[in-house]
Amino acid sequence: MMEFLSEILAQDFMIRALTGGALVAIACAMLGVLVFQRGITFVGDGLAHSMFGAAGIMALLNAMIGAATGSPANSGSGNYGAFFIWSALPLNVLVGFAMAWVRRTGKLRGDAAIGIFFPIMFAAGVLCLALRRNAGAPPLNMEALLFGSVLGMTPADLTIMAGGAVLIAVIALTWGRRIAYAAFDPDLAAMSGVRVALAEYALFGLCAAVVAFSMRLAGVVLVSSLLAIPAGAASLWRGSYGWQLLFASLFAATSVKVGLILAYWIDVPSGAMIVLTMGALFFAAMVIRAFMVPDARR
Amino acid sequence: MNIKSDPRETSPAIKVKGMSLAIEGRSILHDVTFTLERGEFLCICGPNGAGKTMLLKAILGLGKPTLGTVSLFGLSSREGRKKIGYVPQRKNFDRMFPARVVEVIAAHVSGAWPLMISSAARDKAAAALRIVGGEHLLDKELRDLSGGELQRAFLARALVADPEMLVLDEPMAGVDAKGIVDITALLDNLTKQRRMTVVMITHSLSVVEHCATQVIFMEGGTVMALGKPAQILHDPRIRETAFTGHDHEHAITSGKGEY
Repeated sequence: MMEFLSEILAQDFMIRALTGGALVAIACAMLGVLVFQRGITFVGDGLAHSMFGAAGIMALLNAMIGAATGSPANSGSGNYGAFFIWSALPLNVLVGFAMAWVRRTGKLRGDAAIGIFFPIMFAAGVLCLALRRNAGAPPLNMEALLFGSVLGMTPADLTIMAGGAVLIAVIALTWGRRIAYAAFDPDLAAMSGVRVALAEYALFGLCAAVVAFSMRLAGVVLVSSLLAIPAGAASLWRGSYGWQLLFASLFAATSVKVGLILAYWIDVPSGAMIVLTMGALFFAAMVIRAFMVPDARR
Repeated sequence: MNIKSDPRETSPAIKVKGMSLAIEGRSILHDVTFTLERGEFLCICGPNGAGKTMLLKAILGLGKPTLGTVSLFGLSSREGRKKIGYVPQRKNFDRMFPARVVEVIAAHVSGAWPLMISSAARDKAAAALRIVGGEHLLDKELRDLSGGELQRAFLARALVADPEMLVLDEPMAGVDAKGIVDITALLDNLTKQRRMTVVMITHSLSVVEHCATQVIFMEGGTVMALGKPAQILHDPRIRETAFTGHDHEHAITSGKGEY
């Protein structure tokens, strides 16, 4: 076992994946607790699919600029489409703000606004990628976009991913406490000086950003699990908000590390293995809770 | 030397002028105008659906008036509400949110949800709870509290920042007879001893008779009558439509409460 771990730690790409993956997972888990308390768990899925649309739009723009200037369009094959993911981040944040705006001004409850943007942005992505293909540009690496490719991460990717994750985690621990207060009760938070509308926009914007930073780790299809499962596991236990942040962060970081090591060991896609590890730990937590908390089995 | 006092120090606690409010085209409040001086105890009465809660929310800046102006202590609603402790009627907080009483009170002081509670914040919360007779609630989770305990916790939250005005929306709802006597005595004390301004929505005739210095009677989203309790309560129609015969009426009038 020690020999196997030493082998893993000798690989630069594994060190990058373990470090970047854990940091991004912690940032996701912290925002996940806020999202869970706000009752908009679907936001991760919505913004991940919107990220597909944003990446598709940027890919089409890249091909059009390439055609106009005579330079070849980026295929994303060398770096698994990282260029499109990073360039689509600002667009995804704008979509996050738009979701918050529709939710507030349309007075839509729960996940309704998210459910409206989810298919629109996904359809926009499909359309843009088809137009790009029709224009003769090279096809994109769709597997990386849909399922993640953390093992293919370059040192530059790690810097951006880790930097973004740390920034988001710091915001979640500081300014995010105002978002948490607004999630508890918007009227009381407003009376205590919280700008509730700003808190809502900030939550959607931060989620859009963290989803973009996490695309490398889990891709469009699996990234929402990083927001939902650790927060769900934390909510199984009675504890303060601070305790839930800590539990969700440890849960997420452990899941990513165990999932990555298992993926390397069995030689299977890392994103799927991370999500399955999270799922296994979540149900283990449920079983433990059923035995530890007397009224939990009712 | 001529020292001019800051007009905000002497301006009325509440000044509402020509305020109307509509939600999705439906008129909720219509042309409400009144002024409340500092240190007064205002009771807002009226039948259900009269617009009492929306009036409070509009005054506090939690609902946006479509017409008219509101000032609190000479300031805008957003600025002036910093001087106010508010106890809402319905406790709309998320029941699944992991909130303890000490955290709810500390959050009001800091304006953000606490990750940890410092000993200073804990002492401050305990002191506020002591005022309302709820020290034992300090570490309890909100979802485990009864209606009366919740009212005490929220009242402590409203008092912790030493407000100049308390705004309460039916604070006696869900409280047992002894609790009502305690809360009424506490509010009476706050106005008389600390000269705190109190605005309260109530359906209790006894509370109005014992505490109020001013009464507003609302109906159909507008102020139908405004004045001293003796003037307003003189009208039998108001007595009939604004108040309900609660079982706690007896507790207040039977001498269990000292005023």
